[in-house]
Amino acid sequence: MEDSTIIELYWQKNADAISETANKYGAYCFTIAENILHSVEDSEECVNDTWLHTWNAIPPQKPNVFRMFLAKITRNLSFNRFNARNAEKRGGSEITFVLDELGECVSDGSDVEAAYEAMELEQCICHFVRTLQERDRNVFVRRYFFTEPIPVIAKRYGLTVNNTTVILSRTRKKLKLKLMKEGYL
Amino acid sequence: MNSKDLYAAIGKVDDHILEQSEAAKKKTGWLKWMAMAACLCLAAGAFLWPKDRQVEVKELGSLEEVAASCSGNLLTKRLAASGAKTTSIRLSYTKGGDSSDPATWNALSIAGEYNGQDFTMDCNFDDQAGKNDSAEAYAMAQYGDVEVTIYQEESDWGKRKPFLYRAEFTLDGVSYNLSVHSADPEDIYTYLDLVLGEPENGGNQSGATLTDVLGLGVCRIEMEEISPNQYKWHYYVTVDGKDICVAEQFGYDGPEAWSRDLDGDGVPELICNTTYGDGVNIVIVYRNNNGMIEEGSIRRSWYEEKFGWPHRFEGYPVEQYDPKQGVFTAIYTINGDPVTVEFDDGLEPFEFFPFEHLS
Repeated sequence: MEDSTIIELYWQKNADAISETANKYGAYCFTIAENILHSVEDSEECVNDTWLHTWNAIPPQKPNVFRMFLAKITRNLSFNRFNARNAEKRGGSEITFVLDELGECVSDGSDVEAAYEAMELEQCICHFVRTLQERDRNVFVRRYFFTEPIPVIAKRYGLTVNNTTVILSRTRKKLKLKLMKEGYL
Repeated sequence: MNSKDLYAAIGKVDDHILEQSEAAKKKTGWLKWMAMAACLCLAAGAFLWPKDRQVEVKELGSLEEVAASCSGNLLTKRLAASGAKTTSIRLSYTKGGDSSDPATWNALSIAGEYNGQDFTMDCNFDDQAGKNDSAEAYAMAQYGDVEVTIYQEESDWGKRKPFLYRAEFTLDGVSYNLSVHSADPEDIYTYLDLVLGEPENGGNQSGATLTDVLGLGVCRIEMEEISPNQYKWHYYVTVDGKDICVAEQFGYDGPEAWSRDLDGDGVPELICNTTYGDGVNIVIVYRNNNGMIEEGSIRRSWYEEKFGWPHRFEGYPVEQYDPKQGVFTAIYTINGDPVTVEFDDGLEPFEFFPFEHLS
């Protein structure tokens, strides 16, 4: 079923919308959750929560790219669950590595952190990502949005693992400089 | 702000960018076939090319003969000086031209053996050689201004040499293609070190070398992965038959180290751009102080003396050595504004203490 038809079902508050979404995007959303949570049970629950949030969000929302709309909800829910679950227990999942890598670009306890709203940081990141070259941008979002393992990204774009690692490392350095320039560090 | 805030913020990336990342895939099979078809067309075109562009091939006797004809061909001279044995030297040049005139040269192909390892080196003087997409590269390395792209391909030379390692680079308008069949990726670096000299950035492979470190000769670099994608490089020299570690470096991108004489005493120091696991970038300089190896980092008080940075400033500046300019750079945020400084003051900024290798 076309995305536009599924969205129309949500607007009509037709319960088939959820089953159609689950049929079409269940595996896709599960992969996103699993990359973050590394737990089948938790990932399935997050995916089910994604359908509920989507049901509540449409209407009034009318997403342009339905798949990415679902991806963002799944990612947010999974990350929230990760935070709640992992106060003590860390390790094992890809998100652990991703957060460690991103830790290079920031410094805890910055004096200026309170001065900036989260929304400004989001705009800064969006601008930064737009300025990247296409290949570097794709690798960056697969890693830090979709939380994909580096070998998976390498295979996706026909790169070596070594080359992918280098691209990510250089992009993190650029991001750090951008954050410094913008006063976040 | 911490890494979780950053991760959350990345969640707001534009939908079309996310969608694009899904649409972009590696080159598909039919594209490769298209490329091969294009190559065949070019090959066919070569037969139809006007006669004055046709080439003839001449077998040459020695590398010295090539070097004598083309004094600018640095690599050929270096190969000749290294004692590498050649099994074949084939020069193709414009048909009817003077084979001793480099202006007529089209390509030079050298096959030989060095250090028990077979190699081939192709030089294309038209710089028209088809280059691979660096996106498919196995590794990149920087030798001075020369950027080298290394490819790994499957070889049909049997289990002992399962891969063909091929290095591509351009120097003085000539494109080079150096290749070895091997099971060990370090072998290609041996040849690159031989023909291009000291690597500026040897990739992150173990076995890269620096030719003169701390006045103790050739240094072998060993890589250790200390956490996912983070490495520690150990720099070993051989003294009286014993391997001694004289420096170590942390980072992600490959051993960024350069041998430079910073204090003009004739003994080079080793400059390392180091990135720690918490993202702090600093420069560490190793020196040979009358036989004692010492490591040094830039004093904070020096920043205050030289640039008037606040006394006891917090956090670390982002420090780097720029090998092309031969200067150090540091970036620090003062009152919310990043300030970048460059300096070249020899060893004066550094504070040294004895180096201890913790294996």
